[in-house]
Amino acid sequence: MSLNNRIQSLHETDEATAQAIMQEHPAQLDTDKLFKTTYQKFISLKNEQQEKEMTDSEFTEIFECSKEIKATHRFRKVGAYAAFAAACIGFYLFIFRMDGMKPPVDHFPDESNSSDVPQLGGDSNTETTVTPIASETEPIITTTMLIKVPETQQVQTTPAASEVAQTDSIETTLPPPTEVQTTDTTETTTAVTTEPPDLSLQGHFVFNGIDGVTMQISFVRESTEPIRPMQHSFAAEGFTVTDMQEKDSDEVYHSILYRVEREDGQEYQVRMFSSLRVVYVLEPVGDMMTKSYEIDGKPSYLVYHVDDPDADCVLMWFDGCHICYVNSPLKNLDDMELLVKSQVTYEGE
Amino acid sequence: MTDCELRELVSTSQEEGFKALFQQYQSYVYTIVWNQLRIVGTAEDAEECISDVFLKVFLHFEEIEDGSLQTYIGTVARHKAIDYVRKLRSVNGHLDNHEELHDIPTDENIQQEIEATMEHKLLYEKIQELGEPDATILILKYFYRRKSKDIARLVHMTPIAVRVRLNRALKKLRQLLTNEEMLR
Repeated sequence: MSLNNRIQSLHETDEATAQAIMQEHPAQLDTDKLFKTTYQKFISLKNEQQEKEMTDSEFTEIFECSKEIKATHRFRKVGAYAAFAAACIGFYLFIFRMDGMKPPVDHFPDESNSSDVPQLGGDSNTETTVTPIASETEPIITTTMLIKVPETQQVQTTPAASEVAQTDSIETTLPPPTEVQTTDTTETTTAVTTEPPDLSLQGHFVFNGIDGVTMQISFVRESTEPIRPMQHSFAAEGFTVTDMQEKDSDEVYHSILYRVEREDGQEYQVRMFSSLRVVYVLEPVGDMMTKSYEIDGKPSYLVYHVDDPDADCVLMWFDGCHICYVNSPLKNLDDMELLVKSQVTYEGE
Repeated sequence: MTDCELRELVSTSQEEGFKALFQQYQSYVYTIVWNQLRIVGTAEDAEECISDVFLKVFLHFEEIEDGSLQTYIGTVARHKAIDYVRKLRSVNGHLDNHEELHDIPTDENIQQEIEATMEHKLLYEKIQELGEPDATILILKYFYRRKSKDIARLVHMTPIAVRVRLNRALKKLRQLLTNEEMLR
C-alpha cells in the first residue's frame, strides 16, 4: 500500500485512535459561520411554525364562521317555510270564514233590483270613486347642492353638532341621474350640466351587511370650467361602500355618479361633486377602521371616525379635501340613515 | 458555563445564549458525529449534521430538563449522525463494512483489523513527530477530509502554501515510516 493510500485510510482508523486524534487536533470548525447558518434556519423554521399556527387558527375561524352562516340559512329557510305554511292556513281560514258569512245563495242578484247592489256612503245619490294610492313613497335619496365658495377658502374644519343638525333639513327626493338641483343658500349658485356619464368602475357594495348589492360609479371628466370649492350633501338609506378606488388617478373629475342598486332591484342614483382622485370609503357604522391610503405616492388620505355608537359624525379627510360623513341616528343599523355632507376644495389648482 | 447559566443567557438574549451553547458543545457534537460519519462522509457532511443537531436542540430548548442538556445533545447528535450515515450510504452506495465485519467475524478479519489498528496508531505517532503546523495540516486533510482552501483559512495560510507544506510533510512522513520499515 502506498503512503497516500495509508494516510487516506486514516479516517477509517479504530475508535481509540480517532478519539485521540480528535482530542489533540480538534476539528476547528468555523464556529461563527456554522452558528449563523444554524440560527438562521432556526428563525425561519420558527416563523414557518408560527405562520402555520396562524393559518390553522384562521382556517378554524372560517370553518366556524361558515357553520354559523349555514345555521343562519337553515334557520331562515325553516322560517320561510313556517311563514308560508301560516299564510296558507290563514288564507284558507279566511276563505272559509267568508263562505260562512255569506247568506245562503237562493238567487243571483237582479241587476234591476237596486236593493241587491251595495251602496257606498250614506247618501245613495253620491258616487264614490276608489282610486289606488301608493302604499309607500319613493325612497328618499339625495339632494345635490352646489355652493360656490371663494377660491381662497381652505379646508373646512370638523362641523359642529349644530351644522350636522342643519344638514338633516337638506333632504329631498332623488333627482334624475344627470340633473343637479342647485340651491341658492349662500352667495352664488352654479348650475352644472355634465356630459353623459362614462361608467368606468364597478364596485362592491354592502347594504347593511348584506352582500349582493352592486354599485356603479362613473367619473365625469373635468369640464373646461372646473368647479371650484363646492359643497354638496345627500342622504341615502343606510348603505356602505368599501374600498372604491378610481382607476386612472391622473385625471381630474368633478363629478361622480353613484348608481346604487339594491338586492330588491331598487336603483338609486347619487351624484357627488368633487375633484377627488380618491378612494371613497363609506363603511358601516360600528365597523369602521382608521385607514390611510397612499395615492399618487402621497400618504395623504386618512379616514377618521368616531368609534362611538352614539357618535353622530364620521369624518373622512383627503389632502386638501374635507369630506364629512354624517350619520344620524347611528344607534340602530337597521334604521340607519346615512347623511353625507361633503365639503371639497380642489388641490393644486 | 452551567446549564442554568446558559438558560439564563438564552432568556436574556436568545441569540447570545444559543451562541454560547453552540460554542460550548460544538466539539462534543463534532466528536460524536465524526465518529459515525468519518467512514462515509466528508467534513461538509459533518458540519451539515452538526447544524441539524443544534437546530433540533434550539427548537426543543425549552423542553429540555435542567441538568440533562449534555445528555440530550449527545443523544440527538448520535441519532442525527446515524441518520446521516444511512442517507450517505444510500446515496454513495457504501457498504457497511463495520457491521459486516462484526456480523461475520473470522480469524483473518480479526488479524487484519489488529494490523490496521496498529498501523494507524503508528502512523498517527509519526504524523505528530512532524510537528506543527504539518501535523495539523495532515490531520485536517486526511482525517477530517478538509479541502486545502478550508485548511488554509483554519491555519492562516494561503492555499498554495498549504499544498507546499502538505507535500513536504508527506515526504518527511515517508522518510519516517521507511525508517520504521513500514514502507519499502
